[in-house]
Amino acid sequence: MNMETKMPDIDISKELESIDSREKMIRYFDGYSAERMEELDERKIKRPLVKSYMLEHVGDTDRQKGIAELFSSIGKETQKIDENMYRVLENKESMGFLEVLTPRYFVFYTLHHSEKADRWVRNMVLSSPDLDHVWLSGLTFDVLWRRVAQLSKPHRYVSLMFVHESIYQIDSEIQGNEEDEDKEISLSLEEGDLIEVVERRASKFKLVDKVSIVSDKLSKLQNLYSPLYAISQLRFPSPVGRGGHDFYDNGKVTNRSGNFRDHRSHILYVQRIYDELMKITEERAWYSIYKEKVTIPGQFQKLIGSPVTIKFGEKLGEETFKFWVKSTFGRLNNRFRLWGNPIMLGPTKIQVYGVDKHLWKPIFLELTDEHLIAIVPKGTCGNTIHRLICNIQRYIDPAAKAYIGSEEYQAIVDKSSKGIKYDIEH
Amino acid sequence: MTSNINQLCKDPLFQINLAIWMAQPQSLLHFYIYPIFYESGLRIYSIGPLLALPPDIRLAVAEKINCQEAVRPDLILESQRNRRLCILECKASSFGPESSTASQARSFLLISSKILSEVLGLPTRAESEGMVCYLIGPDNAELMERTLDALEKEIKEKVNCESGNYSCLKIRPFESSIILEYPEKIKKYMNLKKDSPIQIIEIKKDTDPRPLYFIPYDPNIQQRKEEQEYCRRVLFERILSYVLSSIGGSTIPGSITFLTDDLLNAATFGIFDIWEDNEAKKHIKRLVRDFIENIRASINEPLRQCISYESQKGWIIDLKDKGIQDELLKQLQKYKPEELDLSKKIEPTLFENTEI
Repeated sequence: MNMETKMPDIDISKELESIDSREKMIRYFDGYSAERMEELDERKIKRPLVKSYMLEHVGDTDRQKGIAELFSSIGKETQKIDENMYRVLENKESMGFLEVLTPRYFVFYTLHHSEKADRWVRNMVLSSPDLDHVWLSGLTFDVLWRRVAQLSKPHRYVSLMFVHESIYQIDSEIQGNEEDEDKEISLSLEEGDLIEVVERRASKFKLVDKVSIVSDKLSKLQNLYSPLYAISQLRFPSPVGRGGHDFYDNGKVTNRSGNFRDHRSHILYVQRIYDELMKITEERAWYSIYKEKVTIPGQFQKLIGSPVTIKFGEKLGEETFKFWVKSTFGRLNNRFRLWGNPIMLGPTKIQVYGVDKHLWKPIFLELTDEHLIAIVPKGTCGNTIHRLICNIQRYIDPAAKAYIGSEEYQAIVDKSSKGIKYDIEH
Repeated sequence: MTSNINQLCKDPLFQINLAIWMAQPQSLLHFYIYPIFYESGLRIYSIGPLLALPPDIRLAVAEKINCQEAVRPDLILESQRNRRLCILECKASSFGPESSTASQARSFLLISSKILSEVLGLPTRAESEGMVCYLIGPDNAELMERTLDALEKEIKEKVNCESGNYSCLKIRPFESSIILEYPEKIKKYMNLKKDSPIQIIEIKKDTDPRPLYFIPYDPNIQQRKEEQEYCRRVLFERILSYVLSSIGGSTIPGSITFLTDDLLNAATFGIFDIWEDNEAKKHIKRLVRDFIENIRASINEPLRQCISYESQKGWIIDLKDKGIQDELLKQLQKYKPEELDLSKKIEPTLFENTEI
């Protein structure tokens, strides 16, 4: 049930305007979260929950922009609160606060209604080639879930959402429209009641149970029913009280706990894992010619990089494959946000020397009924890979396995999360 | 789609891309092309390096045998374990000891001896061992081995110099796959983990087995019309993706400038820079200029005016506002290199040497 929709309209912007320091902001959001928790307990939410959106700026330091420049280029005003904290305004309305975690990663905190905040963030990301969501794929969530199981007491409740929709299965070919591009994949952005007759695999359900029970059953259930690999939302139970922090696949995090500082700590924890994952991804996957000077005239060229392989658990039907290719490369706007002229090499094999249209960077792909291979030239953001994996799990095959070079993607996520300190401020 | 896999196996560009793929890190559970080199600890040491014979060797061979003073093999693979190096050269067909290609082979044989470490710029001679491996298509390996035997003998008898190890890797279609075959001496020298032959690509029904190409084009390679058209298409698609990326990611208002060399380096992972054949480079630059002219001509007026060419600067794309950027991106995304005449001969122009 979407309790927020019944709430009275309160001028959130006005309240945010009075906050002029980080300390005040943290205190205000902390108190606000505690109030909402009480309301959640009584099942009478009066005002929207705190929501945070993890965002990624470009990794290339030469292309990195200052906050004011970056946001003014997409029509947003920013007011500096301190070195790393900004208020963000749209047409003089305070939308929330932006914290710069690193020059590459930001988090946007807001108290606006989900519908409004989701749309605002989504449009902001869509209109800038320099901003993207932080993409948490089902494979990443699977590893994060294991961390939740380690961090939480067995009796605590965890919630997981699974979403998979085989939109390219041809049985009930539903012609997409030019607005497809705007439908980003997170379920967090699809709160409405969409009613349609579907005759293709479509799974969307929520699991809430004790950590001990989910630990025991989840992998068994995943083996039985592959859409359960497509984890699209995961709750980190709060260690300082009831409730927790709901992380969505597009980097949105809803605070369903009574503590904002704890909420922020969880975001920092996941962001650090993501940052590490991104570093490893880019270090390994980026293809380039490394020029090594030696004692004789000229240079030696080493080709460095690793291919990204996404192997489907089940072979795609020929019609599904064709529909996927047509829907992706036959339209300027498509869910994968890719452009390319497919070179047809067989009924179920194409190659595309194309572009990731979100970040406007080249990417070379081979798509078959069994796999997707990507060659990522140096400079193409690692985020492209994570978004690709998210999309494949969501729309093509929830049980797909991914590899960067010879190493399984999940093992890399696992490695990325192991060195990260989990510091809860309380 | 290629109709003749036998012919494809003889295409040096297919061969070199296959060799690069065999050295790429891939899971042995879900590989794309069997990574036999990677699995065996071989890594790419260098692509297309220029290797010169040291002065003492040049003096020794001068006017006695016909060899090149400097050669550029397609690839050098290096064993992680024992500093063994494999000089890999892709060839469409075998050749005899009297052919012009034999002079290059003599240099490879000389370089792959104990002087290899010096030639590679390593501190002392005899630090690395080398082997020359010719990667060839079907039905050529025996003649190739005989030629190499004859050349080694000639080097020994006429100049009393050592040759390095040598042999041939062969690729050919077999049933529903392309297999790699090699003699025991290659397996032993390169410490390959599998016995020959090995299946490296599965051939699916009605499907072209070509992998994604790392190196999409090489003007020095003689190709059949079909292979040349495919490679030209890949090159054009890659250039178009680079142009689109640059326009889409640019700051507005602003302008972007491309030299033809920049476009070619972006499309070839920087390999264009190392091609030495100036005539071949001129040819490919002409090809790319013609391609960009074609793109420009496809843009509707007045938008076309925002793309111009200045001989001292290269291609300039003037992006005055977001509307121009969006419309240009829209039109460029609809451009189809496959609709061009991909075997068109490009004639020289009066001003082709003026671009810096």
